[in-house]
This record gives sequence, structure tokens and C-alpha cells, in this order.
Amino acid sequence: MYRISIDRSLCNGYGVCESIAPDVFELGDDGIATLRTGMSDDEAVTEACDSCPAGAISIARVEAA
Amino acid sequence: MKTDPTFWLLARASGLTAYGLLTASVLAGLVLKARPFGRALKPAATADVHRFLTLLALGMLVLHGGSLMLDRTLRMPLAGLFVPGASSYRPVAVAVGVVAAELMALIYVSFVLRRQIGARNWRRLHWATYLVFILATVHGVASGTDSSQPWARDLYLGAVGAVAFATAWRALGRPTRPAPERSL
Repeated sequence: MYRISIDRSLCNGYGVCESIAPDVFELGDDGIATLRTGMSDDEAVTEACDSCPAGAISIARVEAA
Repeated sequence: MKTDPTFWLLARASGLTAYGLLTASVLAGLVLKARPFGRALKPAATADVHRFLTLLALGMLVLHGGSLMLDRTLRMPLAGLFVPGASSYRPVAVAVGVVAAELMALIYVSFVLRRQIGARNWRRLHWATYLVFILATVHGVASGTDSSQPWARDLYLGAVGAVAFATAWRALGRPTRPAPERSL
């Protein structure tokens, strides 16, 4: 399980995260990425984190309760 | 008296170099979105390369326009560099180049102003990059005096082929999951 956060001040709205993990990320009305959920066990979030050109996504692995 | 060809040569070389840099920048942008190399390329570095190539291309366009104005072969007026149709030399082909250059500069500035205009509007405007590339290709082929040379033809065919391939790769190569419905 991953805890996900986005630094919206860094996000440039490239939309790469949304295309990799649309269950977790979406571009808001302002074009900046927002989270659909703050926790996910989807491995795609690690690729989304690595693929963010702005380095705006942080993830931390947490033990599932 | 023989005319000094320095600015004429510089104008041709800078125009072709600007086209090459624009092509490389478009390819870098497509690599950024399509991620054909997976995690082998750092996206932040690719984004930096994409922006830097665009800036270099714009700088080369300044050199291209400046050289044409200083050259005595075409005698390009200042207005011809900024106003579509104001050039007496191949007016339509040059006008296409002027529009391409101004649109390219607008797209670059839109990145700097993305906070003010909104990231969504910035992304929409970025689609116009394809129009810039098409216009730049038409301008180069139609107004360039080297266009009939085999190496120039290869350059244009290679650039168009590479961008078409990368665009197809982005569109077809890597399926992405559909976004779930927004909850109301």
C-alpha cells in the first residue's frame, strides 16, 4: 500500500501521472494534478511518481492495516 | 562589386538548424509523454532538454531573421520578419514561416505564464506545436533555396517521418487505462 501526495506548487500539469494511473490521479479544473485517493496498492503509482517531469509526486510505502 | 555572402550563408544555415532543433524539441516532448524508454530516461531531464531545445530553436530563428535583414541578396525588410505577407520574396512561403515562428514563441511564453493562463489552457495551446511543425516544414520546403538538394530533401523527409512515427507511437504504442467516472 502506498500513501501518495502531490506538491501542487511544483505540478506543471503535464498529465503523465493521469495517463499512467487514472484511478489515483486526475487533472483538476485548473489543469493541475489532484488525487482521487491518498492511498493505493496499485503499483502504477510508483511509475507515475518516477515519471512526473516536475517531481511533484511523493509516495511512501505503508503497511496495510 | 561582389556581394559578401556571409549573411546569406548564415541565414540559410540558421534556418535549417532552427528546423532541426524544432524537430528535436517536438521529439523530446513526445518522448516525455509516450515514455518509449520506460524508466531509462529521467522525465525531469527530458523536460529540461525539451525546453532547452525550443529555446535554442527560438534563438536560431532570431539569427535567421537577423541574417536575412542584414543580407543584401533578398533585402528583407524588418516588417517582412514580423508581418505575414510583408515580404516581397516568396510572400506566401515567408508568411507561413512568420506565423510558425510567432506561434512557436507564443507557445514557449505560455509555459512561462502557465500559472497565469492556467495549466489546462497551456496544455491546449501546446497542441498547436503540431501546426508549428507543419508550417515550419512548408516554409522550409517552399522558401528555402536549398530545398531541391538531395540532402535537404532527406532532412525534411527524415524530420516529418520521425515526428509522424513518434506521434503514432504516442497514440498507439502504449495503451493507458481509461479514467474512472467522476463522482458527482
